[in-house]
Amino acid sequence: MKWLLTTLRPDPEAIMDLVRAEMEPARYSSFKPITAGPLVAFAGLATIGILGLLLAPIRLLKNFRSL
Amino acid sequence: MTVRHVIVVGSGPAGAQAAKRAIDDGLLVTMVDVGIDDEQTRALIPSGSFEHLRKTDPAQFRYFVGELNAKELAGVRAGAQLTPPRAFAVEQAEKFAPMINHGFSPMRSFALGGLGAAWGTGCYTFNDYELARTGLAATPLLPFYDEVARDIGISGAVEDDTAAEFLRCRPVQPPQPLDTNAASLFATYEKRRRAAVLHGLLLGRSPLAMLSEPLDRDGLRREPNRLDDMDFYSDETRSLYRPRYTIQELSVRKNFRYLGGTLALAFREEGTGVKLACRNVTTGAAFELQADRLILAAGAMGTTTLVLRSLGRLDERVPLLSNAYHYIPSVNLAMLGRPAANRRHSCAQLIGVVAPPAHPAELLVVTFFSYRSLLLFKIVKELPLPTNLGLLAARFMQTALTIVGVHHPEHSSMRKWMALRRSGGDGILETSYEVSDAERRDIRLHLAQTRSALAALRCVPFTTIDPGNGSSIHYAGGLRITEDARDLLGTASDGRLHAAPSVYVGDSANWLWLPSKGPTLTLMAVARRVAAAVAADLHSAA
Repeated sequence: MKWLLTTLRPDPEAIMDLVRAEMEPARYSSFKPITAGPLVAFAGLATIGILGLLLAPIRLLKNFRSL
Repeated sequence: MTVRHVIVVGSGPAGAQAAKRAIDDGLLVTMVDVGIDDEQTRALIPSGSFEHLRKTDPAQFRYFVGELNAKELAGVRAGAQLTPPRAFAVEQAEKFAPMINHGFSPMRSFALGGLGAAWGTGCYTFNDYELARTGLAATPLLPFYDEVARDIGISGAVEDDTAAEFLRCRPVQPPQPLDTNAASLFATYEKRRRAAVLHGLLLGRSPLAMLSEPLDRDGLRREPNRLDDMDFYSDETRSLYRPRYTIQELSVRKNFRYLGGTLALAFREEGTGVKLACRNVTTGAAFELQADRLILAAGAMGTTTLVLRSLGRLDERVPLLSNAYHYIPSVNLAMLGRPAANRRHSCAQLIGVVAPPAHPAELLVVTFFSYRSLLLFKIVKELPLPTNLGLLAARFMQTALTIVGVHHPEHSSMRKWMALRRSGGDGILETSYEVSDAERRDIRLHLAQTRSALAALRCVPFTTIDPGNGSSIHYAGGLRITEDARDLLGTASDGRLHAAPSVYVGDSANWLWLPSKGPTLTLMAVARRVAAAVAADLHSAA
């Protein structure tokens, strides 16, 4: 399980791009908390979880090929 | 009257408080310290709140993340950490005191202010049971808690359920306001107090060395916290106590000398006094200092190294203590999807004690941080999701995200030791830290109980992270408090080393046990007590 979770994590280069974006004042609003009410937040998190599961096989394959 | 001279080794919380007390008692003090500092990074940070700087400063990466590359990024975790302006606190430790570690990753400091330069400012008094187990008698120590509180300024809530456990000192300034997430958690606790208590949990606002009212010390004024959420990066108002403020304050006194750039190597007694061999870290020149007494406050590992080297006790295994630490990222359901105010401080908001049924006196300490000013990429990199989805999830969770730190009490064991080995000129400290099966089982039970207590607060844990042995940054051991004067690695309860009566241990190097509470406040009280004992000793000799 731990291996799976680690393998599914984004690669460091993608995170570096995210760090650069987060440090841009012009992109500030893209990093603000989303506060749409508890129901919407829960539905949002659930949707993200399902999308993540659907994308997992593709990401696993990609990470395997980069090994 | 002859002014008696004391050398204090180390400028951390203990060293600074020992020096201050010794000077107040009329002694001449020389502080020996390497004293690494980083004015440059501090100077990079403009005035303003975290939110304001995030919105406006194009150069914010220099102090929020520093010059990171993808490889270094792998080591950045989601908990509170050494942000670039505080990173100097641990710089060059390996150069000045190389170590060989087995299963142990300690954080050591040769900075001005020691590890206190990066301290989270949690201030917790030990109870009588904890003091007795540590080897420190309560009655002589308690007045020194008050001295420290007067000197550094502590804010906290004396009416909370946890106050009797954490705040046995006075004066105490009014508590800092809770941020939105912590206020919501605290409201849940007050509503569901019975359920929490059934799980052994008591909760209160965290006592902090963070001012809520101005404090004047010898003309140096510190202001209340501005609640600008910049505490991990800057402290314009000096509201968080740092030992360097005490050293700055002392530097105008005529009986104080700060000897920076100096590494203390070994002591030897001569006549009625003591000589300390030192090295200038820039030129490499060796020299000796002479004084009537020596107070060692170089941190548990630093002080132990100095004593072992000075007494020629090579290859002898001595106990090493460090609290086990875990953190549990959790979601406070009551805050999910709700907005949170930006006006807040960044340090621990709430603190709790959990009494394990098997050993109710050996409390666990749980600290609650809201995840606000530590940037989102640190969460996204841990989520098993593509970057864009991870960012969305982090944004949905951010106002509800609560990082719960769990500290476990630490017992001495033959499997946790340090020893000074012969290697090159100064020797090398070797450590080994092995957790026994029984300790592992206790820790598992502690964590399970903590997770149940969190669930009672409607706070849902989603994982438990073990950052590794030594990550609590709470260290003790090496020497021991014992009245047996034949024990040459022992000290009296006032810190006096049996093997060298001109030398005193002014930090946690002689503690026999480590409770789960952060030890910094107790370290400072102990250092003051030791300095007072030194002064009494010298005055009576005169």
